[in-house]
Amino acid sequence: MKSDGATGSIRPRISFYEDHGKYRGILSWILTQDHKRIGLLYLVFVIGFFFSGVILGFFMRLQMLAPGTIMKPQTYNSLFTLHGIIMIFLVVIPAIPTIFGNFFLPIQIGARDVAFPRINLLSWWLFISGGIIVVISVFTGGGPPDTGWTFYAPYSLRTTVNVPLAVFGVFVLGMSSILTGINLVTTTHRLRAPGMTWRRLPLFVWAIYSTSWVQILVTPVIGITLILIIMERFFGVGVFDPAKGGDPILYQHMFWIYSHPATYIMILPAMGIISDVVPVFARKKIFGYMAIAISGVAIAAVGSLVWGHHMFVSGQSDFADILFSLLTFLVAIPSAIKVFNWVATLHKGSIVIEPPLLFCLAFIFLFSIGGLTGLIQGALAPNMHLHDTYWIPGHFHYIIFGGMGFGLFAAFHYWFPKMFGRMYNRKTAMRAWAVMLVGFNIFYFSMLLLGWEGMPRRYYDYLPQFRTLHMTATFGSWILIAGLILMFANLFRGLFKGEKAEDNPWDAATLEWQIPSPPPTENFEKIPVIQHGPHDFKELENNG
Amino acid sequence: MGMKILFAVKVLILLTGVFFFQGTVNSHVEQPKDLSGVGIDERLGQFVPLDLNFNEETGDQVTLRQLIHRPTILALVYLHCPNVCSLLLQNLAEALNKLPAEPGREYTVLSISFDETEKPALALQKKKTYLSMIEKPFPGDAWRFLTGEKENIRKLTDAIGFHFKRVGEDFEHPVLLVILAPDGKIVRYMYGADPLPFDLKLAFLEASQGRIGPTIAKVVRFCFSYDPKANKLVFNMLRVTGTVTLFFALLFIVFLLFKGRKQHLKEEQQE
Repeated sequence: MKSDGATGSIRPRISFYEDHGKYRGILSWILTQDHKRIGLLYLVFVIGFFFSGVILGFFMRLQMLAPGTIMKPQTYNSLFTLHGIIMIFLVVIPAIPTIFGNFFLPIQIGARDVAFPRINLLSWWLFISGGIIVVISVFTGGGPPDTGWTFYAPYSLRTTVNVPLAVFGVFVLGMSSILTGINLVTTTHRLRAPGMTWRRLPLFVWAIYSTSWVQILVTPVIGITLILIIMERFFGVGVFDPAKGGDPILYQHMFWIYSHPATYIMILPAMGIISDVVPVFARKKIFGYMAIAISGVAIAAVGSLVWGHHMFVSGQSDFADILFSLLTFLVAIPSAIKVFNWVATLHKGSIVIEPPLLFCLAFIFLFSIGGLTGLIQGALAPNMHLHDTYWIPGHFHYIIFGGMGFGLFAAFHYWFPKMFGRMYNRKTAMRAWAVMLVGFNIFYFSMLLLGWEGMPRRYYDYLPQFRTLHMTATFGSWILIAGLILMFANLFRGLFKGEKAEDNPWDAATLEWQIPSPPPTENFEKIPVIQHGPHDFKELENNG
Repeated sequence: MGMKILFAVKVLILLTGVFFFQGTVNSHVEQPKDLSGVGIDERLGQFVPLDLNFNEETGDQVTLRQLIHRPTILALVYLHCPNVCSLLLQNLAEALNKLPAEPGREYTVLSISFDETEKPALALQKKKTYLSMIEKPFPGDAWRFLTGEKENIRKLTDAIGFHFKRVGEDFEHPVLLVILAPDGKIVRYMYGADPLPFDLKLAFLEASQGRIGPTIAKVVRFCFSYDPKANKLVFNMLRVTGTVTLFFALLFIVFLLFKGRKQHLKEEQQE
C-alpha cells in the first residue's frame, strides 16, 4: 500500500505507511507506537473476528432451518455462546474506540499521537492475547463454552466445558479496554491543539471521551466478577453458588453493572460517527451541538445505572424493578435527543447522497426501531412476556448491529479515503447498503415477531407453528450476509485498485481532512491553531 | 516506564500459564460433587423405577406404573414449602391453563412430596387449591398429588438425580420439573419455577417419540435460605474495591483538570 498522499499546496511528505520506524516488515506493525498503525492493527483483527462471528451466526440460522439435522443441541449451545463472546467482547465493544478512536481522535484534536503511545501498543497486545485465549478455550479443555455470553452462575461454575479459560480471556480483554480508555481520556484532556476548546471538539471526540470514562469505571467490575468465577471454580470459594452459601443473583448484578454500560460503550462511539458524518453530507452545522455532546455524557452516566432491567424476572424487589424501569425510560431521552438532532440537521440541508450518509440514515432508522422496542421490554408488564424470547435478540441486534454495526460501516466508508489514500467504488457501496438493509430487516424483524409470539431464545428446536418465521429469518440472514460480502469485497478492492483519493473528498471541515491522505507519521507539520468549530463549512470555503 | 511494562507482561504470561494449566487439568477431573448435597445430576435417558408405591390423595396405595401411561410432568416438591414450591405449582397451573394439549389424554401431572411426614389429607387439600386455579375443565386424575414412605421417595429422587436435604422443618432443594416418557424414561429436565407452555408442549412432543431433550436453560434454581449477613466479607470486599476504583478515577479526573494541556504544545506554537 503506497501512496504519495499529499496533494495541493502542501509539500509532499511520506505517509505513515512508508515510515517504517525502527523495524522492518511485520515488526514495523506489531511493535509500532504510531496510533494510526495501531488503529489498523485493530482493524485487521476486528474484521477477522467479525467474520468468525458471522459464520457462527450463519450456522445458528441454518440449524433453525432444519432443527436436529445439522448439529447436536450441545453444538448449538456452543455456537450461540461463541457468537456472543466473539461479537461482544472482540468486535462490538472494541471496534470503534480502538480502530477509529486510535486513528482519528488524535488527528481530530490536532495532536501528533495519543498521550501514551507505548501503553497503546500494550493495549493491542492485551487485546490480541485475550482474543487468542478465547480462541484456545474453544479447542481445549472439555469443549467450547456453552453458558451463553453472560456466563450466568451457578451454571458457569458447574459446567464441565472450558469456561475458566474463556472467562480469563475476557478478563484480559477488559484490561486492554481500560488502558485504551485511560489513554484516550488523557489524550483528549492533555493534547488538544491550541484553540481546540471543548465546544470545538468534533462530536466523535466527545463520544469517544464519554465512552472511555464508562470503560474506565465499569470494566473493573467485570474483571472482579470473572476472577471470582475462576476462584470459585478452582478454589471453591462460595461467592455465587447457592450450595456453598453464595448468591447467584449477586453474579447477575455484577455482570450487568458492567454489561449494561457496555452496551453504551458499543453505541456511543457509533453515535459520535453519525454526528460527525451527517453534517458533512447535509452541508450544515449540526443542530444542537452542545445537546448532542452533553446527551452523550448523560447516556454514559444514566446508562450506568440501569443494569437491573436485565433482571426483572430474577427475583429482585418490586421497588428495584420499578426504579430500574424508570431509569431505563430516562436513558431513552438523551438517545431521542440525538435522533431528533440528526434529523433536524438534515432538515433543509443541501443533502449530498454518498455511501457514508446512507449508512447513517440506516443507522437512524434501525436504531430508532431498536430504541423503541427497548422501551417496550423496559416496561415491567410486557417484560414478563418478552423476557428470554426471540424479541430480546431481535431488539439488541437492531441496536448493536443496526446501530453500532451500521455506524461502523458508515465510518469505514467515510474515513476509508483518509486511511488508505484510495477510494472504493461508491455505486457498489450503495448497492451493498441496500442489500444489507433489506436482509437485515427481514432477518431481525422476524425475530421480533417470533419473540412476540412466544418463541424462547437459545433453543435449538421449536414448535411447528414457528416454522414460517424461522425460515423467513434464515432467508433474511442469507441476504444480509450477501450484502456484507459485497460491501467488504468492494472495500477490499478499493484498497488495491481504487482510484487515488483526494485529501478531502467529502469537503469536511474537521482536522483529519486538512492533512494529506494517508496522513504523514506525525500527522501535522505544525500543530494547527483552531479557529472554528467542526462543522464550519463556510470557513472552509472562504479559505479555499 | 519500560520496566513497568515488562513487569506487567511477565505477570500476564505467568497468569496465562497458571490458568491454562489449570484449565487443562480441570477438564480431565470430574467436577467436584456438590458438597452440601443439594442439586441435580442429570440422568437423561434413564428410567425411573415404576414399581414404587405411593399414596394417592384418597390414601390408597398406588404404583407409579399404574399412573404413568403418557408423557408425564413430574414435580418434586414438599407441600408445606413456604416459598418456591408453591410458586412452582402455581406457575405450573397457569402454564397448564394456557397449554394447548388435552390433560389426561396427552399428558398427566404428578406432584410427589419428598417430605415423608406429609399425609394424603394435606395432598388432597393442595390438589383442590391448584386445580381451582385452572380455568378450563381439568379431570381430577390428570393431576395427582402423591405422598409416600421415605425409602420409596429416596429411590425415586436418586433415580432422577434430585438431591435435597432437610433443614429443620424445611428443605433445601432444586426447583424444577422432570418430563417422563410413557415408559418412565427421563426425557427432559426443566429448571426454574416458571415453566413455559412452549417448553411443556415441546417436551411432550419429544416424550411421545421417546426422544431425549437435552437441557436448555440450565440455570439451576434452588429453594434456599440466603443469609446476606453470612456473606458480609464478600460484600465488604466489593465495597472496598468499588470505593478504591472510584477514588482513583476521581484522582485521575482531578489531575487531568488541574494539569490542563501539555505545556510544550503551547511553546511549540509560539516558536
